[in-house]
Amino acid sequence: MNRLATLLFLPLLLVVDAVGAAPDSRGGPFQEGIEFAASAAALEEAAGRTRFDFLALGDLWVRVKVQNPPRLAALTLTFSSPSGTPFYEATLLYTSDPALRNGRVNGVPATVLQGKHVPGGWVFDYPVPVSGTVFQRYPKPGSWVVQARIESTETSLSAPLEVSYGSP
Amino acid sequence: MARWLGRAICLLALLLAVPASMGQSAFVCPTSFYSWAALRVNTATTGPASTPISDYPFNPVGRNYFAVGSKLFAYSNSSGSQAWNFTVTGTTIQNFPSPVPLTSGIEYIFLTTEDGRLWKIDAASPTTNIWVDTRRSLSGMFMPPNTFVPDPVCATDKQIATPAVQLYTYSNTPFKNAMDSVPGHVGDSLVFVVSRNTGCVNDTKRNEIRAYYASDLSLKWVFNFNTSNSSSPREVDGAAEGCAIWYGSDADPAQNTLYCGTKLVEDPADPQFSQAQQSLWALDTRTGALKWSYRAGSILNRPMPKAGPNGLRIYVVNFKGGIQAFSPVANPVNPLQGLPLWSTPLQVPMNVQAVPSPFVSGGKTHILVVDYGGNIRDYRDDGANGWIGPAQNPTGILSTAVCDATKLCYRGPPAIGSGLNPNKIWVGRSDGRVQQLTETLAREGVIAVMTSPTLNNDVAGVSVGVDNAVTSVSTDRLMAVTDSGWVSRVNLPMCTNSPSPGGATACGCGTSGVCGTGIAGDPFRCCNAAQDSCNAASANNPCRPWRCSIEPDCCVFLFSPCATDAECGGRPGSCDIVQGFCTAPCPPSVNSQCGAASHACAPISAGTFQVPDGTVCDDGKACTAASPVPTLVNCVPAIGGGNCTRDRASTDLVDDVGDCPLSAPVCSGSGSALGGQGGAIVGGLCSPQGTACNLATGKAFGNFGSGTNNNDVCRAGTCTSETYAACTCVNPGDRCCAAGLACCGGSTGCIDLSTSSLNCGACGLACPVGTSCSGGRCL
Repeated sequence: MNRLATLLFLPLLLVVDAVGAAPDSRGGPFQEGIEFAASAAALEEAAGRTRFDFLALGDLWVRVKVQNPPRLAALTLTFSSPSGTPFYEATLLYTSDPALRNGRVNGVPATVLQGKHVPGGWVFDYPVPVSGTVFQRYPKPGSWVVQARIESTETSLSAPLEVSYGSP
Repeated sequence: MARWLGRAICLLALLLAVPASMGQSAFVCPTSFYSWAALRVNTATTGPASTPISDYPFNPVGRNYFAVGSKLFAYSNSSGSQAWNFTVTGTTIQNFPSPVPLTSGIEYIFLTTEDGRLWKIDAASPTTNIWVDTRRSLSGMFMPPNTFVPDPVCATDKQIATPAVQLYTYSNTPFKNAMDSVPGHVGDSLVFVVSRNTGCVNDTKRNEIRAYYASDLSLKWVFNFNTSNSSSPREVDGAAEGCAIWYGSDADPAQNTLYCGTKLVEDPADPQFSQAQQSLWALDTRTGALKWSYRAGSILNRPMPKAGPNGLRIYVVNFKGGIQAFSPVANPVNPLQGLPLWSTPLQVPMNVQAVPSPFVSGGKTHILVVDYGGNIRDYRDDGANGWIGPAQNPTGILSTAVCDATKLCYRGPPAIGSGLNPNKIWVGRSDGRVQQLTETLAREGVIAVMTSPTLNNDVAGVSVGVDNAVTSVSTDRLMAVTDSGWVSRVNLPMCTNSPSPGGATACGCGTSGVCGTGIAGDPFRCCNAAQDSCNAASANNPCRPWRCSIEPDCCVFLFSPCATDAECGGRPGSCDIVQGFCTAPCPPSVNSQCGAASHACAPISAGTFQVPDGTVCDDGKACTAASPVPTLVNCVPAIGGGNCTRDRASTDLVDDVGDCPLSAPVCSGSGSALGGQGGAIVGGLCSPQGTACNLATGKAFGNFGSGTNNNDVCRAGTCTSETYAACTCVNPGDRCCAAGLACCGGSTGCIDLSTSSLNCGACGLACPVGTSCSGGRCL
C-alpha cells in the first residue's frame, strides 16, 4: 500500500514556486519546473507536453527551469519507471558562466554544459537519448516520474511523464 | 591458419555479442542447476544491466563484465565473486563493455559513455584507465586523452554504442602492414566508435565514425569529418548498437571491413528527411575509406557478418521489423552501393526490440528477434529469401500488444548455445526467469535469476560463456543479470533431463520438486513443488502457483535492504548482514503463517502473493488459474463462437485443461492443425508470398512449404485460387518453382542459383566478368 501511495502521489510533488515570478521566454510568468519536448526547437515552442511515444522518439529533451541556480550547478535527472524503480539517472554540470568549460562531479573531471538565461531564471536543457538506449531496449509503458535535483540546494522538482511504445 | 581464423571468429562472435539485464522469485529448475546463483550486486546505481560479456576465450581466469548505470562490474566466472567495480562518475554506460587482449597480452576493457567519451580500462586494475572525448570540435581539434573538447559543436554529443575492436594479433597481413607502417604504432590494434549526436539547434546532425589506436587512444581516422564538401555530403545519422568488423583472410575481398548501422531521419518535418540518406556503411578499417553504403531503413542492430551455407552475408534488422541480407562486398554495377540479397520487410508484426547474433543450424542461417510484444521470432536465410520460422511467447500465445508490467514476455537479446547437441536458446523473461528453448523455439525449462519479489523483475539479456575449469562444451555456463543487480550463473543445458513423471493423467510432485509429464515439449515440466500445485490434468499446464490474496506481514520486509535485525521485523538473524537485506524476516509468530520464510513471499501481481508449498491461503481458494493467466485470442469459429485461451486441433474435442469450454472454437492460426509450424498468419494475412493456403479460411499452411498439396496459394497477402503445386513465379521469393530452383521474379523466372551467372547464389547477384557460377559461387 505504501508503495502504491508513493506512486500515486509522486506526480503531485511537482514543485511550483511562483514567488518572485518573472515572465519567461514565452511571455508567461517564470515557474520552476520540468518540461519535455521531442526536439531542441520544440522546447522553445510549447510547454506542457507529457505524453511521448518512445518508439518514435530520438531524444527526449528535458528542460529544467530554476530561478537562482549556483554558478556551477550539479543537476541530477532521475527517471523512475511505472513500477517506481529508478531506471535512468544522469548527473550533469551546468553553469551560467560561458567561460567555464570543465568541472568536477564527486571529484572527477566532467564536462560543463551551458545554462541559458531567460527572464526570471535559468533553464538547463538536456537531450536524454531514447532511441537505441535502455528506454527502447527494455520497454516499460505507463506513467513515469522524472525528478530533477540540484546538489547543495533545496531545488527538487518532479514531473509526470506518460510513455507509450507505438501506441497512444 | 584455420586455428587462428577460428579463434578470430570466436573472438568476433564475442565482440558482437549483444546487450542485456535482470530478475524474480522462485527457483523453478532444481538448485543443482546453478553454478552459483542469486548473488546480489550492491550496484548503488540506477538502471538496467547490460548483457554480461565473458572474456573466457582469451582469459583463462574467466570473468564476466557488465554495466549498470554508471558502473562497470567484473565477476569471476568460477566463483561468482565480484572482482571489482568501477564508476564513470557523472555519466551513464548505455551498452555492454568490450573486453579484449591487446598485442601485449594484457586485457583491457573498452566502453563508451553517454557524455561522448571512449574509455580504455585495465581489466586487472580499473583505476588504471584513460579516456578520450569524441565530441566534435568547432575548430576541428582532436583532443589528447583525458582532455575535454573545449569548443564542442554540440556539447551533448553522445556515445551509446559498444566500441568495436580489431585486434592486431588476429588480423591479416594487410592490416598488420598498415599498423606497422605508422611510427609508434607497430603491433597496434584499432578501436572503432560511432557517435549518436542529438541535434542541437542549428546542428546538421552529422555523426562520425572514428578509429582510435588501442594503445594510446590517439586518433587514426574519422569518417564523415569534412562534410563541407557539398559534392559528396554524407548524412550519417546516429547509431543504436554500433559497428562490427570482418577481419578476413589476405585474399578475402571483404577483408578489414567495418560494418556500421545507423538511423534514418524519419520525421518529414526534418530538413534531412528528403535527402538520400544511407544507413548501412562499409568502411575500410585501416583508412576509413567508404567501400559502400546503402539505405536500409533505421537499423536497430549492430550489422551481423555471418558466414553460412551461402557464404558471408551481412544481416541487418530495422526498427520496423524488416530483415535484410547483404552481400559483404559492393554491388558490381555500382561500386559504392551495397548489394541487397533479400529482405523480409514488414514480416515482423511488431517493432523489433532486440536482435542477437545469427547462428547456423540445419544448413540455414537463423536470425532471431524479440519484438515489443515479448515474442521471440525465428527467421531463416534460405539462400535467395528470408523465411518466417516459428515464434514463441512464454505464455504460449503470441502477444499482439506491447508487453507491460501486467504481462509475461521475453526480454532482451537471446543467447544461442554452440557446441551443445542439440543446441539450445536462452532468453530472459519479464518475471525474473530465463527460459530455455529448443532450436525450433519449443519451451523447455526455466530458472530464476533472483529471489527478490520487490524489485524489478526483468531479465533483459543473457550470455553464454565457457567455464574456465574444463574446456568441454558440457561445462557451458549461462550468465544472467537482472536490472536490479542480481547475478546468477547457471549450468547448461538446464532442465533437459526429464523430471520424475507423474504419469500421463496424474501429476505427482515428488521430492525433487518437479511435476509434470516429463514429456519433451511439455513447457511446464520443471515446475517447483515449493511454488506450485498440480492440476489434475497434465497435458498442458501441469503446475499452478499457490497464491494468496493478502500479503503476509513478513513479506513486507523480505529482501528489503537492512543493516540490523530490527529493520526486518526484529527476529534475531532476520537481517543477512553480509548480503545487506532481510532474508528471514518473520518473527516466530508469523513464521507459522509463512513457513520457510527465507524464500516465502513473492508477489505475482498486485494483490496476490506466492507462499510456500502447503500453506493454506486465506481465501480458501489457494490455486487460481495457471500463471500467467492465459491471454484470450481470436479464433476461427469452426466449432463455436467467441474466444478461447489456447489453440487445439479440430479433432481435440476434450476439454482436458479446463480453460476452454467445449463450445470454444479452434484457433487455426498456429497449432497442431497446421503441423505445429505456428506463426503462419502475419497481421491476419497469409504469408509469405507463394505459401500454400486454404481459400476457405484465408489462412496459410505452415511456413516452409509443408502445406497440404492441392491447396491454393498466397498472393499479395491473400489466398487465391491458384494451385500451390503449379503456381506461377511472379515476385522474388515466391515458392512456386520446382525443387532446386528459386523464384527471382516474373521477368527472370525460376532460376538455379547454383549455376546462373546472373543470379549466382542469390537473385540478381551477377558474377564478375571472367568468372562463372558453380555451386552458387563465382569462380
